[in-house]
Amino acid sequence: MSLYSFAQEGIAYHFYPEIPQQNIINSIVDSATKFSVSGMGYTHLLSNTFSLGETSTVSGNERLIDLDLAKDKLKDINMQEFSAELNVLHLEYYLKNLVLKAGYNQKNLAQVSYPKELYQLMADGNAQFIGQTVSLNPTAEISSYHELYGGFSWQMGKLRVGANLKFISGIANLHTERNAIALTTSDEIYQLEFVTDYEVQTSGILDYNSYDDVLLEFNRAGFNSPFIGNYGYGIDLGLDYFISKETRLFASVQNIGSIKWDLRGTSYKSNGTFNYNGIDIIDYIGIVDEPSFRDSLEALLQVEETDLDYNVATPVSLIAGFQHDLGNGLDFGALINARRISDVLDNAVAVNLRKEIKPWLTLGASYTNRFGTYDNIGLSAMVEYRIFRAFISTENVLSVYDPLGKRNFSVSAGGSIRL
Amino acid sequence: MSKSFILLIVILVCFSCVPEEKYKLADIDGEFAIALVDSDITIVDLAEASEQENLEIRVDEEDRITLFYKGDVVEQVSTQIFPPFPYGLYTDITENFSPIDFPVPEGRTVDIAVFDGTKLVFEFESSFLQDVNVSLEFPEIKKDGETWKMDFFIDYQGEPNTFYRSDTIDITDWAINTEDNFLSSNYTAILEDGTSVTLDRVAFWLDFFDFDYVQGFFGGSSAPLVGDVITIDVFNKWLSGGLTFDDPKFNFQVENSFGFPVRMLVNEIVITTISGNQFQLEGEAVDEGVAFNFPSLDEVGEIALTDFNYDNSNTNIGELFNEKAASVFYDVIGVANSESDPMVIGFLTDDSYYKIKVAVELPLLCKLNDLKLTDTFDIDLTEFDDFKSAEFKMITQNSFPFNVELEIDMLDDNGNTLAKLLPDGSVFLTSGNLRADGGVDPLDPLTTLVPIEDDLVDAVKNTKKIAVISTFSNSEIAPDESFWIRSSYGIDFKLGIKVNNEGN
Repeated sequence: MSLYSFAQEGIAYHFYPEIPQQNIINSIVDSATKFSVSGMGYTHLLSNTFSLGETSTVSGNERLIDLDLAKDKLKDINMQEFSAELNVLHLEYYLKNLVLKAGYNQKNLAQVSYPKELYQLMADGNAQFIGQTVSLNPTAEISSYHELYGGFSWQMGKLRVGANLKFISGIANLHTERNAIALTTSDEIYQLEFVTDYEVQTSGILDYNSYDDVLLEFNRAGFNSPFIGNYGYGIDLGLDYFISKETRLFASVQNIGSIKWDLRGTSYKSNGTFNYNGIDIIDYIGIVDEPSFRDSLEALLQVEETDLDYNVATPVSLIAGFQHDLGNGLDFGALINARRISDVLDNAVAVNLRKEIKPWLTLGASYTNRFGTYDNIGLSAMVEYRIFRAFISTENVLSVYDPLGKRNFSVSAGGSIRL
Repeated sequence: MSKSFILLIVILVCFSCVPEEKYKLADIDGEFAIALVDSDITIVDLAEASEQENLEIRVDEEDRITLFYKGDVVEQVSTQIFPPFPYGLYTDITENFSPIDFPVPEGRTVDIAVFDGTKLVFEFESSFLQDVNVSLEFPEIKKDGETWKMDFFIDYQGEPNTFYRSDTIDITDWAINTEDNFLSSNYTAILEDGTSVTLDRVAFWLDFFDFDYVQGFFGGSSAPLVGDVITIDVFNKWLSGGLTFDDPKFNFQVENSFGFPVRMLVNEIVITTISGNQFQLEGEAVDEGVAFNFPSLDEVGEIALTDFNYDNSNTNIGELFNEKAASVFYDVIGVANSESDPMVIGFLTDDSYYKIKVAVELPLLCKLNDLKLTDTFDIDLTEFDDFKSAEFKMITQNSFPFNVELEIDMLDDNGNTLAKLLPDGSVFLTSGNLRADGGVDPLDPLTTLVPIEDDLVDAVKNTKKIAVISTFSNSEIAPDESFWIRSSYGIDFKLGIKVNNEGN
C-alpha cells in the first residue's frame, strides 16, 4: 500500500463553516436550521514545476507540446496532479448538540511524479547520460471511485468532534507499487542496461501488451458501474475547539482508508537487469533476414503480467488551522495542509481574510503557498438568499482565465439549502 | 439587480469559457546513443554460419582447424556382391547317386556356404505294391561333422502308383562343403520285404540358395560407385589476392567387412574453380586406385578400416586446389579381386558391407597474400531516417596472427556503392603477437570514430546493403610463412552510434 494525498475541495472551504460539506467535519449553522441539503464540485490542476501552458504553444485549436520549453524549469522531482470531485449530495440533520450526516461523492484524481532525468531523457535523448546511471523512477497514481458516507458531529461545550464513516466502490485505478528503473548508457559503444524493480497495478485503466501496444482507458472515470465491486472503507475525523467566542481552532484528518481493487485487477511487473549490447553479426551471416535493432530493443524489457487483487490507501489529508472573528463582519484565518505525493512531502499554508459585504454576500481573499508556487492569490464568495446559500472559490484567481497557463488552477463551487 | 450579483454572474461566465483543444507532441529533438553490433567473429563462427550442410569443422587438441567438405557416403552390401539366387525347380534325382547342379556363377568357386533360410521339399513316386523306406542324403551338406540325411516312408495304399510329398524342410545352418562347386545326392529305397529298389521318381524342390556365410573365390567384378560433387565454399567470398593452402587432401575412409580384396579405381576426379575452369586430378596414386583393407579368414565379422589420402605427395591436388576450387567431382568404381587370382580365397557374410566416406580435407594451414574477402548484408536503417547527423563508434581488436584491413561500403538496392563508411576508406588492424603455443596476444583495442554528416547522411539513409571487405595479409614479421588458423583467432568488433535529431 502506498500513501498519497492531496487536498480536496480547496483550502477556502475550511474558512466557510456556514456551508455544510462532507469534508467540513463540523459545519456551523444557525439554531433554526433543522435540515440541510448541499452539493459541491471541485477541480484542481497542480504542478510543482511548470504548467501545460509553459511547455506548449497554441496555433488555432491545436496545442503543440514541446518538451524543450520547460527544461529550465525542472526540479529534482517533478509532479503534476489533477483532481475532480463531486460531492453530489450531502444531507445534515440537526439535533441539539448532535448533527447527523450522510451523502455521496464521486472522486477522480491523477498524479504523476518523475525525476528531471526522465524528462531530460525524453526531451534530449540518452547521449547526455553516456557513462552514467540515471534513475528514471516514474510514478503514477490514478483513481476514480464512489463514496457513500454517514457521520456525525457532536458538540461538547467548547469542543466539537466529528467523524464520517465511508463505504467506497472503486471505478478504476492505476497504482505504482514499486518504481525503480535505472538506465545506464555505457561509454564503450553505448550499450544499455536497465535495472528495474517496477510494478504497476491497475484495475480497468491500463492494458499493456508491448512497449508500442499500450492502451489507457480513461473513459471509465465518472459514474460508471457503481457499487459492483472494488470495495473499500474510510473514515474522517475532526474537531473544532472554540478558544473563545471569536476564535476557533480546527483540525481534521480525512480519508483514512483503503480500497481493495479486485475487479479486473492486473499487475505488470518488471524486475531484473536487462542488457542490450547490440546484435551479434554472426546471427545474420548467410540468412535473408535483416538485422532488426528495434526488435532487439523491444525484447529488452520483460514485463510480467499477472491477475492480482490489491489494496490502495485512499488519499489522506491533514488540516489544522484557526479562524478569528475580528468584528464588523471581518474574520481572519490560517491553516496548514499536510500532504504527501509519492516520495515528496508538500505542505500548503494559507491565510484568508473574509468580509461580510452585505447580509447576503461575503467575500474572501486568500494567499496560499502550495506545491512550490508562491503566486496563489485566491478569491471566494458566498451568497445567501433565504434558505439558499451558494459558494465559489479559487486559490489562484489568475488561473481562472488561463487554467493551463498557471501551475495552480483550482475552482470549487457549491451550494446548500437549509430547512 | 445589484452590482455584486452582476459581478458574480460575469465571473461564472468567464469561468465557463474554456475552449476545446487538440493536443499534439512536437518532434523530439535530442541525441540518442545506442549499441548496434557486438561480435567476436572467429573462423569457426563464419564457417558454421555459412550453413553449408556438407561442412564439418574439426578442431584438434592444439586448437588447429581443419575443414571437411563431405561427399555422399557410398555403401554396398553382400546381397549386391553375392545375391541369393532363386531356384524354385524340382530337380530329379535320377540315380541312387547323382550330382546336382549347383548354380555358382562362372569363374567363382564356393568352398563353404552356410544356408540361411533355404527350404527343401521332396517328392517320391513308387509303383511298388509295398511300403517303401527311403533314406536320402546330401554328402556335401554337413553340420557339426554330420552329413545331412533324412528318412522317408512311402505308405502303399493299394493303388498301382503311390505318390509322396514331404513337408517343407528348413536347412538353415547346414553348410555346403565342396570342391569345384560339386554337390551331389544319393538315396536308398528298401521295400517292406527288404529288397533294395530304385523308385520311379525322386525329386527335390529348393526355393533359393541363400547363405549367411560363403567362403571361396568370388572372381573379379566391378561395381560403379555413385559419382558425386563435393561443394567447397572456402573461396566463395574471395575477391582478390592469394590464399594458399599447404596441405589439401582428397580423403577416403573405408569400412570393409568383406573378406576379399577390393580396390577402388578412379575414372576421373575433376576440380572446378570459382571461375568455372576444370582440372583433372593426376598422379600415380590416382592411376593405381586405392586398395581397401579386408579382414582375413580368421577375422570373420570384423571390420577393416582404410584411411587414404590423395595429397601433395601423390597427386597434383595442391596446385589445383589453390586455383580457387569450388567443387570436386569424383567418378570411381569398386573392383573385387582385381588380380583375379583364384588362389585368393575370401569370404562374405550376410552382414558384410563396405562403406566409403569421401571428403575434401582442408587443414587451415595457409599463407595469405593480400587476400581480399567480401560479404554483403541486407540492412534496413529506416528506423533512423529522421536523423540530421550521427557518429559511429567502432572498437576493433585483431586476434589473428596477420593484419586485417576493413572497408565498409554502403550500397543501394542494385549493389551500387553509395559511399564508403570509414574515414580514409578503411581501418587497419595490426596483427596480434603470435605466441609459441600458437595463441595470439592481441594489441590494445582500436577505437575509430566515424562522423556522419552532410552527403554521408543521405548515403546512410539510402543504404540497403552493406559490403564488408576484409583484406588479410601476413604480418611483416613472417611475410612468407604459413600459419595454422586456430579456433581462438578472430576479430572482436563492436559498433555503437550516436544519432542527432536536433534541428528537425
